[in-house]
Amino acid sequence: MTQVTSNDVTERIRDWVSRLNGLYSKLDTWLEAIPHDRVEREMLPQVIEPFMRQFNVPPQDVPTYTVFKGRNRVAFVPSALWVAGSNGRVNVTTNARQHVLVDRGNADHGSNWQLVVEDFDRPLVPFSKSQLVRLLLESE
Amino acid sequence: MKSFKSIHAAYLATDGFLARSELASTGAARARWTNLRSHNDQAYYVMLFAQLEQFVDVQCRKLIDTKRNSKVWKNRRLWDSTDPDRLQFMRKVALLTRKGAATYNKIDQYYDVRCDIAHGTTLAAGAIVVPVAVLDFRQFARELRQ
Repeated sequence: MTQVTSNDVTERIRDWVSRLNGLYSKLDTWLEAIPHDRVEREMLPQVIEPFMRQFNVPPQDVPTYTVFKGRNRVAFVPSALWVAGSNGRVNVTTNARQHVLVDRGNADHGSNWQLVVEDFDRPLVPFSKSQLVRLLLESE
Repeated sequence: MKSFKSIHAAYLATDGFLARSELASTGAARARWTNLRSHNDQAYYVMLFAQLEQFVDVQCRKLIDTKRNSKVWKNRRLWDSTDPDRLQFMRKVALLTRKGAATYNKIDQYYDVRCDIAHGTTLAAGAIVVPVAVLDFRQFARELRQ
């Protein structure tokens, strides 16, 4: 069995930040065709997770992304990286509710962002431009 | 997975209530609801995983019984001495799917999380996404069914 090292943990966090920036670049592209007022990108200290504590790896700053449209907003805030069954979680908060976005991708095939929805039989849907529009309209 | 659906339904109901309370509050009150929601996720996760454990146990017994029915002693001798009550969970999983393959490894990761919670570790908020686990547990059940 391969032993995890502090370098592995540091590298995984670096990859997490890279995948988050990739997600936000995709949002930038989608928003070129979606009416909105502005976007705010900020940095936030990462939540300290057990692996980081175990290997004494300090938290990094992770990027957040918020879209504003009138009184509505959709905020993408990274949550945990070590998530059972996925490669990281982003909380997506609108005026009306909080959603969860998970990366179900892997190192071989890249990110595969899926949105958790309230569907008993099909709880995950691919995160797409139309899903972003739905989130922006959610609290209207 | 007899009670899987009803446990999942109970989770959706409780999480919905906690999520609405979380969103309706601010500051320390919101942090408290977030914390409660995280504990709720972890509690339901363990219950849902227990359903998968029971399913694996039943499928394992089915497999062992089938193999023990072989008329050729050479084919059944290992199975005759395999006592499902003495097998650890991941050993049972290894009888149902190839050890080291993707499904086995995913179940192993989920099992580690289950053990962490069951042995008193409080996971980071957000470390469990119950709908993701539900989706995967259903897929595991389809793959492991004998």
